[in-house]
Amino acid sequence: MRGEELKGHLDAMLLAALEGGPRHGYAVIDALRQSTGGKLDLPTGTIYPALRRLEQAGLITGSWSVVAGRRRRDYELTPAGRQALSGRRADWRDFSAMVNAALEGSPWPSPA
Amino acid sequence: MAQPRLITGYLSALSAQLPAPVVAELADGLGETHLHYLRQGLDPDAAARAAVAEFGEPSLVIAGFAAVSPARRVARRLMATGPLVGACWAAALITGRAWAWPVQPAVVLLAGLVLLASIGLIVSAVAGPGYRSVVRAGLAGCAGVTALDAFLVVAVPLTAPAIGWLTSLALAASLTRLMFSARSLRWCLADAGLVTLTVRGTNFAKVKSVRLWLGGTETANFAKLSALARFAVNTFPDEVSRSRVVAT
Repeated sequence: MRGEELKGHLDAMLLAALEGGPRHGYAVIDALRQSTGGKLDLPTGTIYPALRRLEQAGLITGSWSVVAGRRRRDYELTPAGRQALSGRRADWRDFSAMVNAALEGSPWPSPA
Repeated sequence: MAQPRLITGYLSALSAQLPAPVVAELADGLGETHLHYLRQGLDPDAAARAAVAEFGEPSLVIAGFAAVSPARRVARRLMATGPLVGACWAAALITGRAWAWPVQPAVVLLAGLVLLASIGLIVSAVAGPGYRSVVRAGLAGCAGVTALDAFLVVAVPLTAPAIGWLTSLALAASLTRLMFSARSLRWCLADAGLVTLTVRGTNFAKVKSVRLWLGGTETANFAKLSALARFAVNTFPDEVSRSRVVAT
């Protein structure tokens, strides 16, 4: 999937990748690749500024450690990040149901 | 294991622009990507080529960090609020017939030049692709706006024959922006590579906790000063040589 098509969804995907627990940058990218079956095709280096943006927004928090002589930054969701992820998921379900209904003629899901 | 020249060159290109903690994080990610390709059976050079290709052009990564830099954020806020503060001052100076005030033309010219230069720098900080150029332009633009606001706040009450409500409003706008700019300058200076070590406690003999800030981000928390010192000296030898300690 191209970066342009991901615009607006990358933040939610990064938050989802951190839902299972703390991860460093490369592990986040790896998790995204695995969860998307390798369809995610973004320059890896561009994920790091996105993580920084989420950290500045208070949705994730980072901490340093030293692994095999290399400084490593691990990220984890904050309570605000969990809340944001839950909101983004609900928005995405509504959006995808609407687009499906329009493009595929699938029925609009009735509220439970 | 020694890193292939391609990877060290890539990291050098990033180091020329980005703060040390950011480069350290990217180096870790690039190292992991390289290892991933080595595990797939590529030779070190081929793995390095694949890792660098996967990471993307350094200019792309640098532009990504420039977009989220504190200097860009500050410049955006100054750009958004500038027209409002400017309109307040324009209304105050026109209704107060400022052209009749006893002010040296050279002072007016200098203030105008500082204003124009600050606007140019702020626009450059908002639109520029390079990290360092964004930080420099943001810092200089913020400093220019701060100087201009300080000048207006001091000079206008001393020069104007009367302070009307429009002038009061403009002064309040400048004072508010001064407080924001002063705080923003600290963020930008921290992001420009300065390191601040903050020691919380009554005195150095009874330290309660130690927080280490790098590039404007809290990076570690230590229970004892000695633990911080050990960590800092081992991990950030270059930065520690440029560090300062603040007791609060």
